[in-house]
Amino acid sequence: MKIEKRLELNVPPERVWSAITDPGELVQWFPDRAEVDLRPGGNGFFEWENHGRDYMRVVLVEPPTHLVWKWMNDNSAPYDDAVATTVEWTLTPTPNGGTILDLVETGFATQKAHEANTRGWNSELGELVDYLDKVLVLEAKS
Amino acid sequence: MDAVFAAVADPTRREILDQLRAHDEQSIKDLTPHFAMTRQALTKHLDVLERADLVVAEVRGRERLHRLNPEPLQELDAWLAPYSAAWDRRLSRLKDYLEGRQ
Repeated sequence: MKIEKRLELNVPPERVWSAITDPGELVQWFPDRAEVDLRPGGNGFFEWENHGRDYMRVVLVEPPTHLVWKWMNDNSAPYDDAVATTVEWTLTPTPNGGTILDLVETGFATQKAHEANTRGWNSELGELVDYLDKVLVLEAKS
Repeated sequence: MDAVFAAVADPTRREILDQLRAHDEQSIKDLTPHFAMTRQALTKHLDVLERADLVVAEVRGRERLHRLNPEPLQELDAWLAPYSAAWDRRLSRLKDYLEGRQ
């Protein structure tokens, strides 16, 4: 269970990097408010007027090509990795001075399994996640 | 959706699905040796899987043959669709932001 997106941009990776890491630029296209401590392990949040606050944690910072963050999906436990999805950004320069942006979000099976567990369904979290990832890959291939 | 997820949340039932994926059309008698439980207990698990439509049984002669029906698992992909659409919107805004102000 994952989301993959690719986007071609006519600006160089340095420019894209700043748009996806600088809180002042993030608010131009993503949340209404943002705070990001841009280093591995650094905490932050995104906030929307009509949705509230989602917490995030920086995992990997390799400017201007590679950024990974965990996106916490449980506001009651702001920095709990167990309920996080992982968002991975890869910026690749193109010959004409642009950028190919690849975005991958994973960990939805973990999130779904956590939901199930909270409702008291008897499940071994890790095994369920592995299973869902396996069957959904099989489904996609068939 | 909940029925499907509750069904696969149990390790024994996942094992049953794996068995049926490996060999289609198995009776209770075929399945029992693979599990450390009584035939009655196994039947209960199969009932849950059938109610979730993950297993379909067909009566042939004196036997009830079970096969895997992966269709409901697609619902898990459907669950993901709104998250995917949200990224489409965000990335479209990112593109407008980056390319619009040159």
